[in-house]
Amino acid sequence: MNETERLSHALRAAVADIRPDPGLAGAVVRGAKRRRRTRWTAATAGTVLVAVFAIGAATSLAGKPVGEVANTVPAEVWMQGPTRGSLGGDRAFLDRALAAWATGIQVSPNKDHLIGLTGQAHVYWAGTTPAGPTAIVAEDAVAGGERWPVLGLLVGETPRLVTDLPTVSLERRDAPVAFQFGDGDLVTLVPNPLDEPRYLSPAFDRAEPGGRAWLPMAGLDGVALTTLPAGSDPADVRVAATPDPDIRDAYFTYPSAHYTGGFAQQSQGGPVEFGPLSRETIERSDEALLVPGNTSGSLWALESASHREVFKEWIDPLARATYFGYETVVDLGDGRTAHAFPFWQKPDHLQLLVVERKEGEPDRVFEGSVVQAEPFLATAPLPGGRTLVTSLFGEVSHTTGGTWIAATGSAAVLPADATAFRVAGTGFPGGDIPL
Amino acid sequence: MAGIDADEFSDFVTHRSAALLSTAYLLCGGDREAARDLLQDVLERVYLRRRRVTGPLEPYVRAALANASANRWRTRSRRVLETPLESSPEQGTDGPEAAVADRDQVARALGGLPPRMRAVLVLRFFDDLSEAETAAALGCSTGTVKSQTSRGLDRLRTILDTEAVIQ
Repeated sequence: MNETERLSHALRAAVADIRPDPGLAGAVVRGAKRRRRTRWTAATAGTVLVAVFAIGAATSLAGKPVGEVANTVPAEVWMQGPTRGSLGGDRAFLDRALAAWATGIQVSPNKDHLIGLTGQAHVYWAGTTPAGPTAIVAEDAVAGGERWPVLGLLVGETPRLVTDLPTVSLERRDAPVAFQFGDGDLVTLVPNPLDEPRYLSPAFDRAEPGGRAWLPMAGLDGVALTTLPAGSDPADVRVAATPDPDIRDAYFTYPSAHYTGGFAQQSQGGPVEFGPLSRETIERSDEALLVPGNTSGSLWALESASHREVFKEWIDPLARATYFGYETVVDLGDGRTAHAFPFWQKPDHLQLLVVERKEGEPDRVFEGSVVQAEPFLATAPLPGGRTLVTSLFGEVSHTTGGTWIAATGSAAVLPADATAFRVAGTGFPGGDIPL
Repeated sequence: MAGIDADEFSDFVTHRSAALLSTAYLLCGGDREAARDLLQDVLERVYLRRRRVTGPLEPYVRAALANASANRWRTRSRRVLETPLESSPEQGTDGPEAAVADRDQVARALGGLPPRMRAVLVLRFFDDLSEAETAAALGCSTGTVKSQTSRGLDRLRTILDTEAVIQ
């Protein structure tokens, strides 16, 4: 038996006792119907307009109960009919857009992912945006057992391909998309065949109920458009069909700035693997560091932490990724514990969140100070004037002004009279860090 | 395009969910709860788009599982291991538990690989897909599948440290 045969054998042995829940089939159907409901849109007061996306037909029904419909926009909507938008009648522009598409996809950073293209392309929309004449081209693709349209955005009097959406990932093929382009990627354009209300949120805002304010986008015959003021961060932008969306309803946003990076970097809605932490740190951090003397256990399964009420003000409900790194657990006495996590929800922003737990229940959350991301080092104030220092994986020592107290490990609770600390280990600041 | 009706889909789930859950379990690096979540999530999505599936359903679902696991985002599923700062002696595993531990070890070792590399190994060596079929399922080239397979086996070998574990 060679190595790969042994691997196959071992993998089969590994799943010998794997059994699904007996009610899975029913749960799947119920879950799918719940998903469909969340996509319904209340379009006008007093009347519920249900956007029904079915293969071969797009229909609006009033008050219809959940039916057996697919929630995808049919290919015909993209591929047939007159081009929509204010430049839809500009045949010369449409021809230039189609030509630019045909040549652009040959040199696209995504060309290896533009699979199954049939050569049948159509300008779905053409109009004027703050970035100039703009077109959305659709090309029929057949691959992976499905037929779907690949969309591309072209901008300029002499159009150039700004973004194409290969959507090789199956779960993204149905996902509604938002193009971001123009200066600073401040223009957001959403294909919107049924001219339904669409909403844009510029950024996570702790002061807003639900964490985000939502602004209606302007409708432009087949698309919705918003231009953000200068200084806005397009990475913070979210688009949805309702002003109170679930994470699953948020659109994939495609900043043009990511296009040249190719498919892996193109979508802000795709995986965010490591954020500000290195792969090594992530891989090493699946453990909890118990500060010596601690008698408490780890906080809880961290996946559920993001859903807890106590985190509501700290977590963007539409974060592309939320990651709690390793946990440092401190016993505060009186039935209280503190649990500190390196936490990120934006690739360029690392925080130390501290949860105080009272008699097992999360009581309050506050933020510590990140000294550096790699290797991770942060501090947080604790009750009684003490200071938590946590590192991955240095050796922390401290002084109260006289002698230095030897390191006890990679995390430590420093007394109120500590005046400075040091962290030994590769990559940590070499000198004293005053408190 | 006829697609698949709801009853057919339910039958499919009833009869094939054990095999699909096994794939999901390996794709999730031996995390049973994550595997259940992944499978249900993918099946719900497939149910909604079942009318546009043009070929056999099972390969389609496997591809969706592999892609969904390789593109997991928002919240990483992870297990928290408690490690007191004072070191504690490692404990060995003997007797009949050893076999179970070894099985879990293989699944966990997969969890130590990058998701897409893991998906390639699972599709190739658990689901017995060819390089071309794996490439089609993951939407990448066969060259990528070859290189990911080679690197994945190297890394798996390193993680497991000894071939004895997969014998």
